[in-house]
Amino acid sequence: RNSLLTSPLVQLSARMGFLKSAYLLAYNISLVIGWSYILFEAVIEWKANGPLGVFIAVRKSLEIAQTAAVLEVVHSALGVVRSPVVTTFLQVVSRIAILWGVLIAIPFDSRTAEIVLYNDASVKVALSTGTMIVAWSLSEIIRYSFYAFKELGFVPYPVEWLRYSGFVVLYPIGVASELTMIYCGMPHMKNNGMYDLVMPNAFNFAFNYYIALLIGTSVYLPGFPKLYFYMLAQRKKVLAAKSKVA
Amino acid sequence: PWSTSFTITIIRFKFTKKIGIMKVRLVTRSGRDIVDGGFEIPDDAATVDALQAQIHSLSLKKKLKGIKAELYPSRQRMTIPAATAGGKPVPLTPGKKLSDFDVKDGAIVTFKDLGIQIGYQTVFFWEYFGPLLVYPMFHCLREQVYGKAFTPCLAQRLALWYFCFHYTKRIAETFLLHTFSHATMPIANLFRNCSYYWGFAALVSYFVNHPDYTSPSELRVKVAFGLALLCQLGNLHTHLTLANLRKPGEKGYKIPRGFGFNWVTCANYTFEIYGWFFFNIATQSLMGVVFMSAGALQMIQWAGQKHARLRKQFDGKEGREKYPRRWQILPPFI
Repeated sequence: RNSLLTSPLVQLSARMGFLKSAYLLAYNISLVIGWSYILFEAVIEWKANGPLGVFIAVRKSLEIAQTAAVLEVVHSALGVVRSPVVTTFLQVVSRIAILWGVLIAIPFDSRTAEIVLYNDASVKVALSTGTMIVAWSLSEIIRYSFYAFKELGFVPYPVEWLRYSGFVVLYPIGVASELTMIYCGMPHMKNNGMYDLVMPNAFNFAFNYYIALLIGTSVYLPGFPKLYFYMLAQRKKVLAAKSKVA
Repeated sequence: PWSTSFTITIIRFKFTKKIGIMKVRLVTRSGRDIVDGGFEIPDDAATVDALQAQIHSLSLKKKLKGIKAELYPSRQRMTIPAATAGGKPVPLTPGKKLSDFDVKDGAIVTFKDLGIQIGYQTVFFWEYFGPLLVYPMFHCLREQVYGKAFTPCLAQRLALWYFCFHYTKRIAETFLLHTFSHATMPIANLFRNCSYYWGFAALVSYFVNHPDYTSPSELRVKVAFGLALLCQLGNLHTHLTLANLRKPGEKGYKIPRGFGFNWVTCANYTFEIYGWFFFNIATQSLMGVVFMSAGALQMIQWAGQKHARLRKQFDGKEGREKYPRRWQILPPFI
C-alpha cells in the first residue's frame, strides 16, 4: 500500500511546486541581471555624455527587460504568483505604454528632451530619460531581488527595507520623468498625425493619438497620489511589524 | 461545609449576569473596543434594530471610541464569528432578534463602518439621468460640438430616440417597479457608476452623431431598430415578472417562470444585451460594440452568481423544488 506521502498525486504536486519555484527564481534573477545591466549602461552613458543620450544607449536592453514584465501579468492570471491581476496589469500597461507608446512611437523630442527644474552655475536638476531610466532600473532591481529572495524563503532585512522604502524617492522621480517624456513628445504627435484613424470609415470610429495621450495621462495622474499613499501605508504596516518582532 | 457554600456563593455572584440586561463587547476588526466596558442591552430590547439604534445615538453623543461620524443604521455592519473555524463571519441583519444569532451575554460583536451611504434609487436616478442629457447634446448641439452644420441621417435620429427611450424606461422602472433588498450603497459607487454610464453615453454619441458618420442601408437601420425595440419591450416584460415574484412582505428567493425565464435564469439581461446588439447592427459603430461588451461582461458575472445562488437554494432536497435546467444568460453559449 502506498502511504499518503508517497502517493503519485502528492509527489506530482510537490514536483510541480518545486518547478514553479525554480522557474520564478530564474525569472526574477534574470530580470535583476537585465536591469542591472541597463543601470550600468545608463551610468556609463551619463558620465560620458550627460543624461539626454541615456535612452538611446540602453534602448535594446530596455525593450527586452521591460517587455518581459508582461509575463508577470500572465503569472498573476494563471495563479502562479499571488498578486491581483488587475493591479499587475495596470502597472505593466503603464510601463509598456510609456516605453512603446511614447518613447519608441514618437521618434524625436520625447527621447532627448529634458525639463529643467533648477539650474545655477554649479548644479542642474532636470527630468529626462536619464532620470527615468535610472529610477526605473533601481526600482526594478530592488523589486526583483525581493521576489527572488522570497522564492528562496528568506529575505535579508536590507532588501526588505529597500523594497518598502525605495519607492518613496524613486516613484515620484520615475513618474515625473515619465510625464516629462509625454509632455515633450505631445507637440510632435499633434502635428504629425501618425497612428491616427480618421472618419469616415466602416467602424464609425476615429482615433487621434494626441487626444489618446491626453486622456491616458489624465487617467494616470490621479492614480499616482492614491497609489503612493497606499504604498506608504503598506510600508508603515510591514516595517512596524518587523521592528516589533525584532 | 459552610465555607464551601460561601465560596460557591462568591463564585456565583462574580459570574451571574445582571438580571434583565445582556452585556456585549463591540470591537473593530483589529480588536479595539468601541465602547469601554462593553455594551448593555436590556433583554426585552435584544433585537438587531435596537442595537443599531443605540449605536446610532451613542455616535451622535460622540461616546464611541475612535469614531467621529454619525453612524446611522445603514452605515453599520455588525458580524459575529462563523460557527465553524475558517468560515465567513455572520452578519447581524436588521429585523431579527439577537437570540436568532445566538448572541448571548459576553458575546463579542465585530463592527465595521461602511462609510457614507447613499440610497439605491438616488444612485440609479443620477446614473440614468446623465445619459439623457449627454447623448442628445452631441446630436442637438452638433454645430457647436463638431463645428459643422449638417442634417442628421435616419440612423442618427433613430439612435437618439432609442437611447433616450432606453434610459427613460430605466428611470421609470427604478421608481415604479423595482424594490431593493439593500436600501443603500457606499457613496463612492455613485461616482463610479455615473462615470460608466455618462462616459459611454458621450463616447457612443460622439461617433454616431458625427458629421462623417457612415450609415448602414435604411432597410437595415429600420429592421434592426425595430428588433431592438422589441427587445426593450421584452426586457420590460421580464422586469414586470420579477417585480411580481414576491407578494408584499414575502422574503426569500423564488424561481422566476414564464416568457424568457422558462429557458434562461436572467432573461432580463438577455433582452438587454440583444437590445444593444440590434442597436449596433443598426448603427455599426465600434464604440457601440465596446459599450455593449462592457455591459455584457458585467451582466454575465451577475447572471453566474444568481444562477449559482438559485441552484444552491433550490436543490430538490427536503421538500424544496429542484431548480430547472436553464441557460444562465445567453443561450446557446452560457
